[in-house]
Amino acid sequence: MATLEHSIERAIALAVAAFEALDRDCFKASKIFVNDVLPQLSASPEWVSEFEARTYYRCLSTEYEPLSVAGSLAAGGRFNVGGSQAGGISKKVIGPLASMRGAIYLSESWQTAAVEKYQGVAEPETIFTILRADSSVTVYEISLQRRKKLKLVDYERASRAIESAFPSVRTLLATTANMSGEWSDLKRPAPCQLLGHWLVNSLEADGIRYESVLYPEHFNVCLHLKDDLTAKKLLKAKAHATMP
Amino acid sequence: MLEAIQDNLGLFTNPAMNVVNGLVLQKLALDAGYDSVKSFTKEIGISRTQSYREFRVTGVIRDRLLVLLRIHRNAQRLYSSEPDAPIRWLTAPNGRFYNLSPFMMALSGRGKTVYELQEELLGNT
Repeated sequence: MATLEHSIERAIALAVAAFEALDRDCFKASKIFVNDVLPQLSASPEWVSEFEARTYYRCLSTEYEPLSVAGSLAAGGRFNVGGSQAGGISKKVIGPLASMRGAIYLSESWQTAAVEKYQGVAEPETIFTILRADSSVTVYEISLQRRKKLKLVDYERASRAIESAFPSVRTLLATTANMSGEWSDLKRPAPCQLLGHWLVNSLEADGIRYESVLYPEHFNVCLHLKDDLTAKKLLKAKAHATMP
Repeated sequence: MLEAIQDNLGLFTNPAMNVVNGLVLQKLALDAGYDSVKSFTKEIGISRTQSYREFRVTGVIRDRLLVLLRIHRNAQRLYSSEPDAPIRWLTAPNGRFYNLSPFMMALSGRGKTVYELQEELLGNT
């Protein structure tokens, strides 16, 4: 009996070690990215486009506020560092790019928002079917308050250009290429998060437009926003009434 | 409810859910990525003979196995197209969870992340 407990504990230790290894790999890649790659890079204005105001979508459990950056500040996301990753040691080693930054992640269709939220635990068609019938999850339509345009970095264009100049960047970014959730488990910044900060800072953009990994040919937008007040000044939200 | 949970995987062999079917656990571990019975038993430090028997479990291990069953029960609702789909999902590397299978997420004590997401979608929370 004790042997089985010991045995399963060993299996648990292996899984925990896998998480820790990923965290270490990410941080190692981030240090290379910041120290060796970024000093040689210059951001091109050609990577930025102005996008006309349109409706975006965000899928949330009804208990959450649609224009809150709290989740991204706490856990971080693909293109922003959150509290989970912004430990003291990270800032010392990585520099100011390791600072926490709020963000709101939006999608260009409600289906993409739904797949982004629940991918990994159900197939897209199942997710759509449940959301059409279920009331515990709300799809919000998010639009601009007053501004007519958003200045967004085209991530595909930027990463193609960067990778063609520095082929090693592809490997660095690949440490989290397929990771599309649970950023809070990462305890140190990932290269894609630092790249997100660097792109938005360098090009004075509102955010980044990028293709969904799990719902290809559909697009998402990560808007960097200081806090909830800034988010509410820029955006407005209403529940999406129909999901055909 | 208890019976339904036990029926999910056949993992527990008594109503108190503190005796585990070692063979089922072994099969799950193999499905979750171990190369062979030998490598699985070697990796987790039990003999092959032991892996074919029933074992008593308590404490944190039992809790994690219960989480595993909870995740599987949810998966049965979310992957209902084919009978094998839930178990395939349970044991497959999953990009959402750093390419760990939900099985390993449960055993590593991170199963809450999986079932909360499932249950939010299913409207159980």
